[in-house]
Amino acid sequence: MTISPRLREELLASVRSLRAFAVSLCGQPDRADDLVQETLVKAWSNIDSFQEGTNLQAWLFTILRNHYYSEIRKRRREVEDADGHYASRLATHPPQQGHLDLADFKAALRQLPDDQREALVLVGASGFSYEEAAGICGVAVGTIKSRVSRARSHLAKTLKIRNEADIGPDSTTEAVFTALKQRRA
Amino acid sequence: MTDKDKSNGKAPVNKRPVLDQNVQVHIGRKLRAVYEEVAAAPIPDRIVELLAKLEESQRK
Repeated sequence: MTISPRLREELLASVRSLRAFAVSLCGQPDRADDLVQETLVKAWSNIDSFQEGTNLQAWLFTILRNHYYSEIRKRRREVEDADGHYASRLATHPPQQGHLDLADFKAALRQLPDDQREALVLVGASGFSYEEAAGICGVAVGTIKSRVSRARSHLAKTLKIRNEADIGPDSTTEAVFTALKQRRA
Repeated sequence: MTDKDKSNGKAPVNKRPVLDQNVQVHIGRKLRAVYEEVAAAPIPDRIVELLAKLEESQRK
């Protein structure tokens, strides 16, 4: 098994967004890092099946996502057999620390159905096209479009924002963006 | 147009309500800020160590 320097660089560069995606899936930073580790090990040992020149990030996201859902199914079977408490634990993710004005948004995000949240994150934050997101989730492009649209409406409703007047000044978000632009420049 | 006047500046009610453009932009910004909070954080040691191990295994 050989990994070209370029592929190696791309792999490393993907770790940050993989972590962010994993947190959005499971809502728990520690569990998210487990997922990233398991994904990297899988990717490394299956690197021969990756076609260099195609989208490495999408490939990694697909591995992470498939792994996450197969773990969920496995655990659900195990724990439901034992005591049935798993579902109730899933529903109460511990609140994440962070900017105060992002807390409401995070809470609203966690309330979204899993399929809507992942579609919204893939397209709206990870920077994938609708086509790529559809490939990662194994569904039709139209399905992704509709999930993203329902996710946005759902969030707007939960956060009670209908128009510009409801948004208000947003200095923290602006500051984050300015910082990001500077970092990327 | 008359709908708009009647509802005091609010968007007319359509059969399929489309989100206000500003609301979409706002949601997009918040979403990316939440995402970047994790993505911009330093990579935890255990992941850095794992990557080093994987690279080590490649050299053998």
